[in-house]
Amino acid sequence: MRVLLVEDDAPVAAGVEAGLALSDFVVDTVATLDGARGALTAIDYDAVVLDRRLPDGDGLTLLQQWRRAGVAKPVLMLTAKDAVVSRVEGLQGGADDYLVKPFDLDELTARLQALLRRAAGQVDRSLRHGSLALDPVARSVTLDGVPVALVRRELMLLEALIRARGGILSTDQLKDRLYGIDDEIESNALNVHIYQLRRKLGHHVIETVRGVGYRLGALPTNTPSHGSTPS
Amino acid sequence: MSLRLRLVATLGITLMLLWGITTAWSMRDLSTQLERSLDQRLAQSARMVAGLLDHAPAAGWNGEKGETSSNAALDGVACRISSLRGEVVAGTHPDMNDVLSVNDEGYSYRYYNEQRWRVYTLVDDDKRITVADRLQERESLLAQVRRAAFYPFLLALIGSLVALWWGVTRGLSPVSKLQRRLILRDHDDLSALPVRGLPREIRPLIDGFNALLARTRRMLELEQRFTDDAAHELRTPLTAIRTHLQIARRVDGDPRREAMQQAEAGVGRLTKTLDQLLLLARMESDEITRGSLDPTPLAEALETAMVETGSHDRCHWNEPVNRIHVELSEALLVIALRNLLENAMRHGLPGGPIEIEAHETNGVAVIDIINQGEAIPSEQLAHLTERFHRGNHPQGSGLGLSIVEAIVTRAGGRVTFASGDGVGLRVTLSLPST
Repeated sequence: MRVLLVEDDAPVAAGVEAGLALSDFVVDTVATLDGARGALTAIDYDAVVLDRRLPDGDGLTLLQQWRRAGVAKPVLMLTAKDAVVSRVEGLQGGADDYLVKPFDLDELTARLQALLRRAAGQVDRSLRHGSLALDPVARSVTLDGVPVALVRRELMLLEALIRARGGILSTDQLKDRLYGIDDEIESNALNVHIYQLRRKLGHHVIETVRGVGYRLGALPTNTPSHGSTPS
Repeated sequence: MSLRLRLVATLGITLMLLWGITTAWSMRDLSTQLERSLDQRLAQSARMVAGLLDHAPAAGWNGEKGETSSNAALDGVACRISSLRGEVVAGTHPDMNDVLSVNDEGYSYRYYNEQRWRVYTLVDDDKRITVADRLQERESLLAQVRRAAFYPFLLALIGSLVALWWGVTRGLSPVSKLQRRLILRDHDDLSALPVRGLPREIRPLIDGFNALLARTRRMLELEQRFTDDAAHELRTPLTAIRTHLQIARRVDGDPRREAMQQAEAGVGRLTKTLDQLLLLARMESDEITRGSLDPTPLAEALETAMVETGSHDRCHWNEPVNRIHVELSEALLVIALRNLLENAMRHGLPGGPIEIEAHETNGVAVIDIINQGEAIPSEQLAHLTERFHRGNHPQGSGLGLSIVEAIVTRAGGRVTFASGDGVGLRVTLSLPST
């Protein structure tokens, strides 16, 4: 999942970025409102973590602009102001959740995941597709209740496709979900991950839509046992 | 005691006293006047009788008969005509000798049957005419007149008191309105009170009150901003520390070492901010006094500050620095200089020179600390000493220049800032010297 972090304090930003990366979030950090505006137009983020106090203004102002412009992305607000008024102000300004500094990294991760779950209209903690279940918190996948070992990027790829709920994702969109701005991507990396996923979960799990991109394939409910439990 | 009650009591008592004295005086005057006119009437009636007798046949007047003719008795008035020898010729009330047998001419009071009479006797040639009025009649007349005169007085007095109450209430109504407004007001409402329609006497009071409210409002705003700033400055490094520690717990090797380093850096930053905040707070609470009264040699303080900041190689200073003694404790002077040098190193041209120019005129030491660098817009210069103002530089606590200003102001000096023409920032300290 790709998350935009808007935070001007470099040590805090580095910590949050590293912490979220541990839960397989791909995080881009910007330090200003202007940077946030630019980043949001360039990349389709799944969620935004927004600090209120930024060098070029109040994060809340930007959020209000976004909401007026119809941006419905889940936004989690960070702030040092712990007064109830400021929290109410933040939530009424369009924030989906609010965390007061210093926050717990686990809480931040859990809240972000809850926001993403809600945004996907999902009740359960697990993302499901047929007999396939992906737990975004535990970072695990089961097929017919049997655990499947996936490497980090494969899991992220599968998560993005399940979250798209049958929608087609282009190569670029998939890369956005998997890699940050600073990550170096080998040209065939995505193909390798898709190949591995098909090998482990069955060929039909990912459907190629020629010239457009990829989407989740229909999984037969009675999955044949091919390659379902490597190691 | 309420203002209204006091006013009404003072004016009411005064009014009642004045009206009372006036009434008493008039009543006294009235009875004197009435008595005098009734006496005159008595004398006139005696003279009238005398006049009537002059025209009557004198035969009956030789007194030979010695008979007393008696008229029908009239109540309250009496009359007797007698010869000089005392023989009664005619009259009323033959039994009232006590009252009517008077020899001397003129007025007198007499008693008959325990009743008091006013008597007048006129001696006319050979006869003596005595007339008398019963005082009871006079008194009841006087009482009637008094009553007739007293009621208007009473009415006027009550009217005045009512008018007084109404006037005072009406006059004080702006005050009452103000009172109600103040009572109904929210405790933390700091908005100004309206001054329109207020009497001139209360206006300065409310103006003063409003000025006080405005000052309180401003102070609360500053306080609120300071609290917000302090929360931000303290919580941000705490967040960094906590986050990096949590990461360190989950990873190994290099990433772990890096996370620990970041956490430590956060602790360092938090410590520095705390130190600066405490210093500022102590300075404001008068905990730090001027220190020793011995003047501090500028050169020594500068040397210490340069060593502490490691800026020795970049600093250049002029000769008067070695001669100037500043009236400020060495500890505080070093803190001020250290903050300024840190500031110059942080915001000035990297590696650029820091000039320290000092001179002394009329007991004032003027110390300039100048660093090269990008000019600061003039509108930003005014905000430099605001707490937690950091401009576009995220490093530093944003408290250094606030501390410098606090120290210099405490010593009775001034600090000013200038920028432009290749000078990044010129800080000028004016301090009392010896």
